[in-house]
Amino acid sequence: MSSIVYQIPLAQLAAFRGRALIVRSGHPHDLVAQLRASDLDNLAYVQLCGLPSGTDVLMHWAKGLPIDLLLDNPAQDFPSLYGYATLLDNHPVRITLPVETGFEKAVKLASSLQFAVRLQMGQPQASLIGSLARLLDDYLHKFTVGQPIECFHGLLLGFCNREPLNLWAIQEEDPALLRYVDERGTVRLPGRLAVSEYDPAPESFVADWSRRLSAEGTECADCPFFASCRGYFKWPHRDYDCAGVKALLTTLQQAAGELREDLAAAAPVSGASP
Amino acid sequence: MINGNHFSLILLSTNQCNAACDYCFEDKTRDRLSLDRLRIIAGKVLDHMEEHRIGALTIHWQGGEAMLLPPRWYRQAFAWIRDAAAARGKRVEHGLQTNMLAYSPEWDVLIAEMFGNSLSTSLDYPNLHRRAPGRAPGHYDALWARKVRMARAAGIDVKVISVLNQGTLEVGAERFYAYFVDELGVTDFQINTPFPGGAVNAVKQNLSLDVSELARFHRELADIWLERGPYDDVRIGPFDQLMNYFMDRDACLPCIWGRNCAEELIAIDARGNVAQCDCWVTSYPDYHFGNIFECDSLSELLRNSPARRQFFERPIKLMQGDCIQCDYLALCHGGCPVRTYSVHQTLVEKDPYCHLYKSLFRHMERRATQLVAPSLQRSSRVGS
Repeated sequence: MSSIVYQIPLAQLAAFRGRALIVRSGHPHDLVAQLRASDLDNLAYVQLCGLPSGTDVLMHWAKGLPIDLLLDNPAQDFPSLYGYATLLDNHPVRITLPVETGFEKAVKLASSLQFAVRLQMGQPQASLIGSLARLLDDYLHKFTVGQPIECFHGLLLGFCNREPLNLWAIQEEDPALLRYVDERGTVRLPGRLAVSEYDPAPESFVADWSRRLSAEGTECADCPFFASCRGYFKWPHRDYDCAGVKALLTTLQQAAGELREDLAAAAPVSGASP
Repeated sequence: MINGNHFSLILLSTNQCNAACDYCFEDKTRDRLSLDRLRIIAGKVLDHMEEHRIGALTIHWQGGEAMLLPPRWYRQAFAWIRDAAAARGKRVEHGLQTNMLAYSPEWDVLIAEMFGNSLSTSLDYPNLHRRAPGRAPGHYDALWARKVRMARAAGIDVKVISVLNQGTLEVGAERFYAYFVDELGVTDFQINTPFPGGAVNAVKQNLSLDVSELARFHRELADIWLERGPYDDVRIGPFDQLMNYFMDRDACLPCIWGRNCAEELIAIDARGNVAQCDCWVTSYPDYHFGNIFECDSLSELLRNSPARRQFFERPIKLMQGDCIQCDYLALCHGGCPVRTYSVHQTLVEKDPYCHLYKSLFRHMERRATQLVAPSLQRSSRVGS
């Protein structure tokens, strides 16, 4: 089987059955009705779109199957997360939301309800870097944040373990790993790339893009995070000022270093009392 | 959980009580559940569990005063529920909340079999408001202490809930701890805040405490417990669970701090009224979800209840206010609906003890951080 995961609408299930899939739908009942038990083996997760009602039907269906809830308008819709919290009893549930004005309230509530979070980072506006920095601090230090916030989590673990990182992959936007299938069944590049006119071979998109940035002598050329970022923050606007995101990455890298030192220094830690 | 894997039911076997506590939030009547009516309730609860594929049920028996029905009634109830649940592949556990005034050794076998040889009772220190009808609080204290000694002698684990009052703040945390632990030998107790629930009376109008003083009392009691608790083998709620939370252990926080209590439990009284919890079920008919004897299906009743919808929507509406800014949103979610309603006459306000909770959370977080190894203080991401 190909390692590529196809993010499909439920209506395209028949055409893509047998491949590795993410299935999206705004109708939980339809997911339950149409996904067969044999489909679950190839399913990375289901994505709920449009803040659907009727999610009770998912409670005892495919227990343990990850669910991703798309929160398109986080500033306005974040209180509705309460209505999905019972899904956590039987599923890992992640909230995916764009980094836009007001998004931090949604992240705060999602974390408080024990949802994992994926931030659709894109090229965050300078005015949002402060919010991102506060969330990063919460993620790193607050007891009340107990679930991953991506891309912070993937980057921290990568930095901590000194593993090669691919931010495009962490963000589920690497075309070598993921393809987006639209309602008509057309296979497109994932995430922000779906509407792109830039058309390299999908498998080599990240390598081609980062090579191109290096060759053009952008600030990526001497960026200490380029090996991890691979030009993620330069898409689509190559003139995007990375100063803010570099500060975030610096914080993460420092935290990873501290964590690594702590782990090395800590003998097996016994629980303190009481 | 109502729609998850576990169902919690507070079941008032009787609305009658043998005490006349000044601050009681219940509107007591002489109603008692017959076994026939209990079977109807249990049958509909099991139907609901079946419909929602819920595997486990905990019934928290209370009143009124639960011990006003005799042990033989509970023995039959226990057997019937056990068999009915087993026939549907459901697990059931039982808990008992009682004032113990009617306790006698006749209860011992039942408490062992049905309640795992454990029960929960209540006493305040100093006791200003708990009393038997026409008697002074001192009489209640003496009778209660005698019954607790008897139960302990029979090997029963007795847990205590204590509601704080102005006298508690005046005697202070040190004396409070010594009274329960050193004098009464209580090793597992929980402190609760008062609220003027139910019908208004003069005592309830004066229940409110200075929240700053209350917060100071909580912090001091927590510190005493942290210092001596491990040696005395004492647990005090909610401090023990807050320490668990801030030390990254499994924690079971009280219902007042749940993400949404409407997801977690319901109460049914001896008349069959269904409501959010025991604080609502006898006293606030406008907030009844319905009556289980008047419906075909508990699931339908819960699904279609406008009152229940208000409880579900409470935390959602609170997010329009300042709770979303709070560092401790994850622990509190706006707090307790009945504490809110009894003070503000609306559900859509945060808990009036907000300042107390924040002060306590901050204090316990600081104490937990002091206890863990300094090397783990900088980051909590290990193993995430």
